[in-house]
Amino acid sequence: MNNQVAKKKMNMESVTGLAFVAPALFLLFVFLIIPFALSLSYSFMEYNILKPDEKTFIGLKNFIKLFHDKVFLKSVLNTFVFVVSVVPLQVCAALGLALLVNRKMKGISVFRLAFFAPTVLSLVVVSILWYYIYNPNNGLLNAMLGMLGISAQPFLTSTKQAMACIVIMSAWQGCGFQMMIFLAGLQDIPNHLYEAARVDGANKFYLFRNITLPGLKNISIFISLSIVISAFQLIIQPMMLTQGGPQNSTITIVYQLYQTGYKFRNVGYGSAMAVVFTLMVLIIVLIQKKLTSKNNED
Amino acid sequence: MKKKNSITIKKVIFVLFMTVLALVFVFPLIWMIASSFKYDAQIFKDINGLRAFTVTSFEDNPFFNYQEVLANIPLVRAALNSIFYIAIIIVLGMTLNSMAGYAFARIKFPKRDLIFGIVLALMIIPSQTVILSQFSIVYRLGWTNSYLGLIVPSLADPLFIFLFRQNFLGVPESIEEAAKIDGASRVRIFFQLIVPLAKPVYGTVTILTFIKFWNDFLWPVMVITDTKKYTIQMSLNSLFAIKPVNYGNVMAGLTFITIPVLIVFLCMQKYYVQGIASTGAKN
Repeated sequence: MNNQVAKKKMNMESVTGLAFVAPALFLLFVFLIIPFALSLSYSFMEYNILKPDEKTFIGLKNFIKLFHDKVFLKSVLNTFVFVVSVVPLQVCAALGLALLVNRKMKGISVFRLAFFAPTVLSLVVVSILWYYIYNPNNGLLNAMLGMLGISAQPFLTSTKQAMACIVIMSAWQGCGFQMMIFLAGLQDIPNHLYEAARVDGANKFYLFRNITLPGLKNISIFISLSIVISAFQLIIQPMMLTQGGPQNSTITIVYQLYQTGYKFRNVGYGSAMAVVFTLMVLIIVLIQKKLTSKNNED
Repeated sequence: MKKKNSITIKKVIFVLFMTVLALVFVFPLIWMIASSFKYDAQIFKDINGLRAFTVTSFEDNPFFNYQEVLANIPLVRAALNSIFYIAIIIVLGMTLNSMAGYAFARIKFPKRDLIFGIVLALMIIPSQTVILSQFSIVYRLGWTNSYLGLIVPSLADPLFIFLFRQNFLGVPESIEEAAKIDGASRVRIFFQLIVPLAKPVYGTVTILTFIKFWNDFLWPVMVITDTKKYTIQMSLNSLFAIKPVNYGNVMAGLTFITIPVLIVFLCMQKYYVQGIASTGAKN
């Protein structure tokens, strides 16, 4: 008898539990899992979004076309160049800032706020603002360089400088966010570790190498990974600043994907780009997972 | 005495260094705000010196750029549009994400850990990979050019489910046990007992959601076509597209749409920073 009551209670519990998760799971299924599966299937089709009934299966043709598509290959290269330059820059800047603001001092929170402020702005606002700052004719940056006696630079209008401009702007905008995460990590490192080492006469560099850095290991991996993933998704900055130019020097994978699939309504070909893109991100995530588990074994 | 002096000097150098560094991060914002009170001719005249960062000449009506920009572009309407749809996302999204988070933390049901694992795995799907097929679903549902297309796909969020779950795991079970003995249902326990206890995490999620969608651009651009329904970032883009560009107007527009985010951020700074720190710490 008692058993039955308990069983009934368990069932009630299960039903309640499922009812609690059902709305969220349903939406995730419809708007995340199904789209993910659709992307995969569309990538094997010729599909114009305005003619949903005229889908035709074309096998690997989209993918074969991709590997001969010079603009797409250029966008892959550009995306990698962006990732490889922005990630170290942003991680180092964030760590440096976190070390600087990790102290008890009157007014230190003002500096924290200043470094963090750009991250609250939207990429659209930041891009428009920097478009004027980078303006080669009467922009703020050339005016400032002029005061230092440096000649005017072409910035976004040059194939050589445009990507670098986007890298600098992105790191400037984003690093305050990771600074906050690093700061939380620094404050989690037990103080007695430092004190013990200091008693043994360790210098600052030794403390940093042997206590701070190991203490931040997992956080650093997490931060690098999240910057890598968001850097791969670069689109708003080139969209607003250069439209991918000059001469496709700032075109990126996601920008191409958006242009192809949305602007030109060619969802099949755009989805093939999305699939290749997902594979690249997945590989990075798996590598990171490997690194983390290795680290934890140490 | 000497030692004390050298410490003060060190401190002064540190503060100076930090000030310069802080200026590197805020100079564009100062320039933006200062320029929003100037005529274009004045902006270009001032650009070659520190005057670029100060309001140099006070006009009879310092807000003329703001008035012009608001007359040309319905920024207020767009701001209200954004606030409207974001408020719905916050209320509905938070309800269903926190209910899911609570169930994953506290209620036993079949395959719970497996399902939670899948939700976690969804976090690594880059949003852009699914954006085209998400759009094709919204298109088929007939939700293009409607706020439904902005709201419904944005409600459930794996990251927030995760944040809520972590938080509810920290609530002592003894509190619930007492209520259960009194015969309270799960629904009552959740809404009357747990939610009030977890106010900080609701604060964190509110501000993260607000900033995320206030700054969202790509998805609204795809879904919304009617200019009357434009969100704030979209209308800003149309300001940028008017040629010839009036610098002062653009700067006023940028300042206008940045202020609400800055206010929300400053008011809820504590929750925001906590939220950021906890996304990192739990991984």
